[in-house]
Amino acid sequence: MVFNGGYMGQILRVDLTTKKISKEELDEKSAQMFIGGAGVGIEFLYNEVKPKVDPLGPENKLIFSVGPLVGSMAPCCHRMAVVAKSPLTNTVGMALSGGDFPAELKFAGYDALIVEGEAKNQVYIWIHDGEIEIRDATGFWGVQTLDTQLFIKDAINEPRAKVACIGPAGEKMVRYACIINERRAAGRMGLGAVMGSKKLKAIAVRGTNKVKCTDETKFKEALRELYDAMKESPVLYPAFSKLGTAMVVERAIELGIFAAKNWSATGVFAPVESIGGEAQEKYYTIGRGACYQCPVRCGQRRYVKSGPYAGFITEGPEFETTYSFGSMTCNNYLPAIIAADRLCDEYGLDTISTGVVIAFAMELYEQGILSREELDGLDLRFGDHEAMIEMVRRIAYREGIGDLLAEGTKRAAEIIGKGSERYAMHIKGLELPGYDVRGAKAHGLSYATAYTGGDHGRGYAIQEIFDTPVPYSVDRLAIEGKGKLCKWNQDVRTSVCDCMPFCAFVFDMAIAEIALELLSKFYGSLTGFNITPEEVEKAGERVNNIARAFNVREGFSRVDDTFPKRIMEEPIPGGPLKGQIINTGQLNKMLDEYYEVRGWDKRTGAPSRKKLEELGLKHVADELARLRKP
Amino acid sequence: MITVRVRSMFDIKEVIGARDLSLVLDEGTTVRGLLYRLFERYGVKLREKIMDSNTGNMHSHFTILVDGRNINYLNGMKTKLLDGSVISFLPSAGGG
Repeated sequence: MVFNGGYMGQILRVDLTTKKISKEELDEKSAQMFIGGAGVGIEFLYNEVKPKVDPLGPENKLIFSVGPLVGSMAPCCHRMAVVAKSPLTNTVGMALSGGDFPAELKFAGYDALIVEGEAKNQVYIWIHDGEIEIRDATGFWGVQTLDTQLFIKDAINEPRAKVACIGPAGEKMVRYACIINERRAAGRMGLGAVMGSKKLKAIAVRGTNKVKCTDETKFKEALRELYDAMKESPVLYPAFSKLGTAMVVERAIELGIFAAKNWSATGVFAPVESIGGEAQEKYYTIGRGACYQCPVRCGQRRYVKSGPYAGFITEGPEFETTYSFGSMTCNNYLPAIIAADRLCDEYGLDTISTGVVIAFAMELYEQGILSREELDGLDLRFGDHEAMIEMVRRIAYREGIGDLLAEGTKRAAEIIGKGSERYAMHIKGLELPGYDVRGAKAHGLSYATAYTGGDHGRGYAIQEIFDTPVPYSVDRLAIEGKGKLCKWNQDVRTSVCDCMPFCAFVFDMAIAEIALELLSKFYGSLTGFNITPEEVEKAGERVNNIARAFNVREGFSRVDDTFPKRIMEEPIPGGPLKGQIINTGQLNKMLDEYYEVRGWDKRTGAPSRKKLEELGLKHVADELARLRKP
Repeated sequence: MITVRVRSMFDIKEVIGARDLSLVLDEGTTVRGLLYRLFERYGVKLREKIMDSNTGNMHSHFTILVDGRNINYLNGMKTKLLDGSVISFLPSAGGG
């Protein structure tokens, strides 16, 4: 099959056990059904990683999947999905990253890279267009991520190469270790640990090909439409490009949903003056960074000039990091959040999971479940930023209690026992992001049902958080109608943002109303495959169903679509939403409605045969039926 | 008389001069009444940030909360304020 545009038509496969390097054609049917990015990646995962595979074993696969828009002349779409079975959750693991690496992989000629097996010794992969090498990385093992990128470019003598790599946390298989490229991260779900389990330190790529466009006239029309929408946005350039995601701190606090103190003090601990977006911009911002070809430049570079964290500089902290290392740990000292963000980048750790795990440990200590002795003498109290920073290091290197905490809150709680499960703020093992969903019910329903676990990115409820009236306005505290809304959020976001792919921030702030139509124009004009807006949404539905099926195969069901007890039994303690909760009855009502609109079995939460066949996934329906038979 | 708190952020906070402003109002004052009072005090600089001069309505991308609830789910601009009400002005946002 020759692809006329958008796709490069080629998948690169590297088997680290056998050292076999092979290239295969991208299947045209898969491309049209799953578009690219997370969709194509998850299809490979479903087909090639069988149930009960050890996520840290050689049978897991690590897939870097770009999409048809990557490397084109459009802005805000140069992203990749990294996919594997997650060692943190045992579900589908999927994390997105921007920066420069995704476009370079595309320019090298590939729609996806699939890494299999496990190397005998530490290696890195060097991809230079059609030439692929597996090289020795023993000299880089132990090096933090930002230096690794420099050293590897030096070793291959190609300063224009882009490098995706792991740091010490990935090498030690911390279950929420991430993959860093430039200063961006495929942050969540422990994909860095998968890379570490394969003894793969880095992937360096340099590409000189161009991404073709089938119909340049129509493509330019779509481009004009996108630029106009971006200019008309009341927030994108006026505020977001200056403040970055940290601007959401102020909003979340006003909405009463900035989760704090391990979710026990939402509305009570809300230090907006010291850690909000305005404080970050006013006192610490020294410049801005951007993904490949992006005009928004939302990456805020922040630098600490004085005090105990003087010299720390980071591109961040983002909203979620301000939550995890600020409000979750009751730390209102912004330089410590900047330092924590930088250290997580260097070690290669997911900032959300790391901060939430530390908050969990803080609560266990204050509850007397963990002793100071068990914490190796660390006085790990809420508000103690020095202890917080030290714990980041101990987790990255699995030192002392860091070894247990490196397993994530779910596993750590199972091992510790003594009622610690009550304080483990995760869903399906993935630590919760920063919006207290007791005050945003559809947003919460997506945390509960997303195929990745407690994840804000898979079905972000823009209607509840930003009052965006697309597809319609909602009362964020209402229960009725949230199943239907959650499905729309998940399917549209999956196809537009995760598969095309396209920047979720620009989606939210500039094109939400026209996204399906606009992306169908981009896709059609680039690839020559005509696709309606309805089909774009359908592709997202297809991805959510095949991902759900993967999880069903792993043993997940309705009982796992739930919240931690704190959300269901303790109301928000303060602020404007004091008293809000999502109890069992409310959750069940939302779930029943959600499964109904999804066409999933209400008892088990599994996709029905009818739905799967409607989506062209008969083979998935057949397999699930076989698994159900005694 | 009632005492309310008006909370704002970013450029609106710049105009008002405080993140959290206490105001004494007549009992029964609505959100609309509060806005008129604020526009009298802070002038067109504040008005243009909240109101669309073409339609005379609030900017579609602007949100007003009363005690954490969007006024669209209370009584809109006619929402009556009470003693202790907290009114939040939320400009358009994204990210996170």
